[in-house]
Amino acid sequence: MSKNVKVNVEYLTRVEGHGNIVVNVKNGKLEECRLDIVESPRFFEGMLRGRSIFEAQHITSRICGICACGHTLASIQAAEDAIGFQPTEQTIKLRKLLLHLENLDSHILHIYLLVAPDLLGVKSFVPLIHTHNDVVRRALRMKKACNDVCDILVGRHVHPISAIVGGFTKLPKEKELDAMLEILESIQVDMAPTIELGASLKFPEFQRETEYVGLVNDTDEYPLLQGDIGSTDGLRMDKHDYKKITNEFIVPHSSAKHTKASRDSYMVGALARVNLNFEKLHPKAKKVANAIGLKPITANPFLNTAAQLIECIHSLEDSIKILKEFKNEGIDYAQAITVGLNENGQIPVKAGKGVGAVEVPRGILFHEYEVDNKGKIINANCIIPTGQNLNNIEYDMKKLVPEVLDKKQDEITLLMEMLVRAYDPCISCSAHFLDVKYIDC
Amino acid sequence: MHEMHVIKNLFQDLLKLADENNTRKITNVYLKMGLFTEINPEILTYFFKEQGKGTPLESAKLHFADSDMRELKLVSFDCE
Repeated sequence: MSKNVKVNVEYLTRVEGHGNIVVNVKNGKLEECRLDIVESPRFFEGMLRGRSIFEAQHITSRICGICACGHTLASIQAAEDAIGFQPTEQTIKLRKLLLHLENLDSHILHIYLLVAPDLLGVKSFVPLIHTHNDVVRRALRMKKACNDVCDILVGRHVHPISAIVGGFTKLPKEKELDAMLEILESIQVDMAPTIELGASLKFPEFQRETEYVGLVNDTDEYPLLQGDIGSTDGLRMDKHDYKKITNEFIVPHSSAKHTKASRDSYMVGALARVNLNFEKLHPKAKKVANAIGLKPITANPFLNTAAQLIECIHSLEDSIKILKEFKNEGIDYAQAITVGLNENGQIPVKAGKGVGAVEVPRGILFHEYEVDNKGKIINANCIIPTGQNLNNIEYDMKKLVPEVLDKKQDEITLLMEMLVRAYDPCISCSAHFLDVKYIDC
Repeated sequence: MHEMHVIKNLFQDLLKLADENNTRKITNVYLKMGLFTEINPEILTYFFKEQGKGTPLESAKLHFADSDMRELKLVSFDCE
């Protein structure tokens, strides 16, 4: 006999990402604590095989809708390195501008729409529309500004069009430089209340020393696009040796590989960059960092959000500086280049291997390509910042849980979610992406 | 990207409920799905069929009802 069973179970909060925190405490002692990554592999490296090096940036930008520009730039850098192409100073400077805009856009998203609701005591940014309407409007205004400037610079922010191997297909005209400058200067006004908001947020007290990894250089520039790989434990190596840093390994509970360098785990991202390159930040950024007490080496991962705030100031000020320099020095429009798939052999191609190492919002991103003498990709490897942070998050959780076992289960759940969110993991919609499962607690 | 995870959770619940209700076979599963869920019903149905092989859900049909809310709910199921 057939019967109908009423259930009414909601799945959406379990959907917005692919991670589960598993906590197993027996007799007041933590037996197991892990972050399961259950999303399916996406096989981008496989998709790249056999494709032209000149379309790799368009394919790999699809890895992420938030870090699309970062993937584009890491891909282009790896491609140019593989075929031995040296971009011009103007191209490099425009790429730095693009990276700043993406960092700013992504950090604003994280600070305002993902972290602030936790710290303002609401479940998502939607209730903030009623309780903190000005905050939501400011966040959207700042995000729109970044998107609008990216539209002018590379056609669009999500999956940019004009940034290619060899340079840019289209270079901003003088009136477009004016428009970009005007937009960015307009959100300088919004930065003051953003700093106020950041300073007012109460981050949980927690300390765990770890190794911080990011780009380093010997100049005064805060390295985002170029540099060696360095760590707070004193590692320094050329980007081509990135595998000696990442040392990827497989764990059974995660479809994403884990990494480790000098210690059991390491952290990448804004906090790692600030810890490594604090002195190279824009003076305004450093001033705010000092005011909110963020200084190297900060070992509280929750303060990654504060480090992002500091980077917002740096990226905005540096973007304005770059645009002013372009306005004063002018742009060499003869450098605009249309390559397509290089059917006309505009760019000389040779067989080789190349690496791109770029600081994107969530940390250092690696792309490596091996190409044949026709510019076809033979092998590819992409190592994403969130993957590099997973192991470190687990070690943080293992230290955090025993320290908060006296709290109620829902408070522990929130703290664990906040910890993972502090890393700004690029698992889609991380606002409420986690299932926290307790076993025998 | 999300659909496989949804199906995994959905199956976990359905198989547990099927066991609790002493059923051999689930014939229909009724979901309510709203806007902006980032879930594709076609892909969800594909994973539902694949995951169902060799389980009490093997020949079950998935039914979707629209919703104005941003939600994805398992409303009920028919079983024998």
